[in-house]
Amino acid sequence: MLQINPNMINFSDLSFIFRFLPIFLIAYYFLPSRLRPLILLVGSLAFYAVGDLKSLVILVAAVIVNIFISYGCRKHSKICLFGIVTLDIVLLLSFKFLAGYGSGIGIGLPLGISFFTFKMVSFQADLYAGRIPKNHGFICVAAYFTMFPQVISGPIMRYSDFEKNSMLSGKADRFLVFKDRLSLYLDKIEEGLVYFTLGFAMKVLIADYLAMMWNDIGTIGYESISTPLAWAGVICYSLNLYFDFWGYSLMAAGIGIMLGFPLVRNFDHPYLSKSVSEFYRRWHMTLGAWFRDYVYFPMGGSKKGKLTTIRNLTIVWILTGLWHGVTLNFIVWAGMLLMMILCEKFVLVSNKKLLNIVGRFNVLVMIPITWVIFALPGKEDLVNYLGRMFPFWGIGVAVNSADFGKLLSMYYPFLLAGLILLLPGIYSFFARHRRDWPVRLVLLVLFWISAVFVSTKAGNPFMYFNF
Amino acid sequence: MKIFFQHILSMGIMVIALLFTVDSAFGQGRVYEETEYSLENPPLLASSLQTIADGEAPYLFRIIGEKIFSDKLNTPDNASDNQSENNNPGSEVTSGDAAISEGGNAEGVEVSSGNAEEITGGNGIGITAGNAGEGSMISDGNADITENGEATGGNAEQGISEEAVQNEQTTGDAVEAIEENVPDNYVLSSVTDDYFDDALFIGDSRTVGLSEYCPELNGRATFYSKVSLTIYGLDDKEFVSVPIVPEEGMDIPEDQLPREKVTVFEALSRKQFAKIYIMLGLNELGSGTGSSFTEAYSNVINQIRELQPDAIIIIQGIMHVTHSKSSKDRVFKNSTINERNEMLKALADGEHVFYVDMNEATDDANGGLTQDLSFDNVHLKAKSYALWYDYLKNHAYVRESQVEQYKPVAEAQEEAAPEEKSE
Repeated sequence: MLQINPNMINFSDLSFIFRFLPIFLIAYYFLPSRLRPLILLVGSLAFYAVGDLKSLVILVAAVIVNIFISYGCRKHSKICLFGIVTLDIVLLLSFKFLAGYGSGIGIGLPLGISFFTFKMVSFQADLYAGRIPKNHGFICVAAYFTMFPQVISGPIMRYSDFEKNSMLSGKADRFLVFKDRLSLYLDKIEEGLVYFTLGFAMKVLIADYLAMMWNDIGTIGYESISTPLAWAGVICYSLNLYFDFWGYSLMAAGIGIMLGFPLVRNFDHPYLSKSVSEFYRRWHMTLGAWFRDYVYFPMGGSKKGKLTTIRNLTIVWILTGLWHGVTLNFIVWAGMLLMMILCEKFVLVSNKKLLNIVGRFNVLVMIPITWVIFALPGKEDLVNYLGRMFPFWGIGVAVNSADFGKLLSMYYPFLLAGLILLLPGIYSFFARHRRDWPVRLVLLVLFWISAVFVSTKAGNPFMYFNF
Repeated sequence: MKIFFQHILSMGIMVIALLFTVDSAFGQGRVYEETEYSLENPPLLASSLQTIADGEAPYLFRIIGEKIFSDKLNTPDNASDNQSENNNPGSEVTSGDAAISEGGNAEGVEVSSGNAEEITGGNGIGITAGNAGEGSMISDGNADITENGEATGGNAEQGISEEAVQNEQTTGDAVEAIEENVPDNYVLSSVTDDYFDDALFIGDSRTVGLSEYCPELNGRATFYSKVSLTIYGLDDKEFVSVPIVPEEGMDIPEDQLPREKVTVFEALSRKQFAKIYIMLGLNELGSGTGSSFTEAYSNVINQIRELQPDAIIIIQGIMHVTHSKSSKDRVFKNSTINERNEMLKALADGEHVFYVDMNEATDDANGGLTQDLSFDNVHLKAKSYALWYDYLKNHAYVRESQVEQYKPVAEAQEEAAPEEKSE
């Protein structure tokens, strides 16, 4: 039996970068071009199988059922749309509940289920609304649902973007001579690698180290951290989450570009926002847009009076909380955000100046605090952590006030790098000058530095830890 | 060529990846560990990258470097051996050799130490001590050496430091003075906090945690502990911060001396302790066998015995990981820990070397570390360290004559009671 390390599905893993990706790209570009959708489908299923063989059945079944019923949606059958959307959502939620509360049964969440079910719903809704004109056939749609750059954690790309890929359809290079074709492929790969490298570096050089710091805080125990460390932990976790997810999204987008897809933006410097609602238009943008287009707008959005708006926002945020997880902390997290957004929309809206100040405060202070709620599913952990942040609520156990200095001396370069990267200039500089060769040379160096850092984690059963 | 430079990023990644792969392939079994190629392992080029991460040059670079810069053409194996020897600080080699050698050889050994001051100082006192060893008992610090004939050479250096740090070891000597020919065995007993005043703890990150989250030990005991320390690292990891050895004749109080980082063995040769607790072995689980580990452990104990003839050594069994970790992990299994703990237990001689197993205080019904006590399944949470400390307090080895001195006042009546708690 062929044994493949399941870490291969991490974009920052060496076996993904130096085994799966090059082999896939060679197959994709050098086998006959009309086979590309099939190669993407087969490659993606193989990729998924390496990560979570047991759930492959669920993915394949969901794909087949969705494609079957999509013919009904194409004919604007309301029953079909309603049926399949219900089915997809029930599939997602039942696994969420099983994973959240049925830990005894040993059923984990199937890999990427939150993302592929959302892609399926958007596909059916777009079909029903006539936004997808042409029939692309079974293989193309299946490849869209399962494509490996997005199957694990998004971004939730729309089918209309999937269609734009002229490499996949073979239109772009069908009549070119070999030399021009090679040049075209390399252009795509080079462009994709720019984004991939930026994401790779964020993930490996910043996020992974901040994750270690967050883990160190947990090792001490939330009831025993000093108050300064509790606040440093808030910053640490917020930056960790941001660069982990942004880095991942850039890597995913980069791989997409290598295959000919357009750039899918998932983050747009959210911490520069002036309000919480703006923050969530710039954070995990494809998820926010999904809720906007398939939940908020169909219910009337904000155009049907105050009460409807409040109702719609409430529904969107309850669903957003449930989508992240069914445990209580996610509901609290979503509830807090909903309160802040409602407050911005209806209370502060009259006073522009106040809105600005409170909005910035919410984005820079309150949102990081909501991430701690997001991070700690256990009620006791959450109470302990908040108790240490605001120590007048209770005293800690076995607190060593030197912990702040110790962890900071270990991790300050990563915190600092993360804070600096919050400034918009650096990323946009690379994105704007990505075609200049000095920038690419810098990225080349950055790539190999990141690879060296990753290698220290390779083959280490702890991932990053050493006792 | 134009295509190459237009796509410098992709081409650069490709070419360098190929170079590293070739490098790793050639270096296999030479400078890199030989691995079977399999899709379970990271790609071949990981060996080269890991070498760079360790701050060394990859294999091919080393060869090229040698071809160009060195006159004699070493084979790569010799080259790397030489390098690693040169990296070793002279002092360690000294203490290692000296430990084996007889007193008369002390001079020869001392020469290998790089420090001029140390040589002169060492010789003088080393010889004195050696002579004294045959003769009468001297009641000052050098008496330690006389008790143990074979250690004379090894303690040549210790001699100097003893002069420098005489104040520190009064306790140990006082004990010596009381002790006459009366048989005074060590017995298991409960003790008060001050028992740990002259105790040393050697260990990995778990012991680091004990040093940080056990306020009763803080300021009392000494800790030579470091994250990811192994039993193999006591003679080459320089992390113990100690005052430097002052030049002869200089009389500077210890706390005003500049500090330097030395190895555990070097530090042990400078300052004496009465009790030395060791908990090591977690980081070693993935490498070697139980017997190779125990052999290394046994060597360490022997070396410490020579450097610290008056100290008792308490081997602590390796703390378990949680049941959930143990049942999932390939390496960190409680069964392996138990196996190795059994072998460590056999190293205790009941006279100078003892074995305690604090797992009794932290285990759950599955024989693993209790889940609630740990966040990461391996380390105790801050608040859980008290259990470990309580266990040590209730399972301390004390000379029969001193049991009363350390006996907790309140617990004088109920000595056995704390043990029940740990069941």
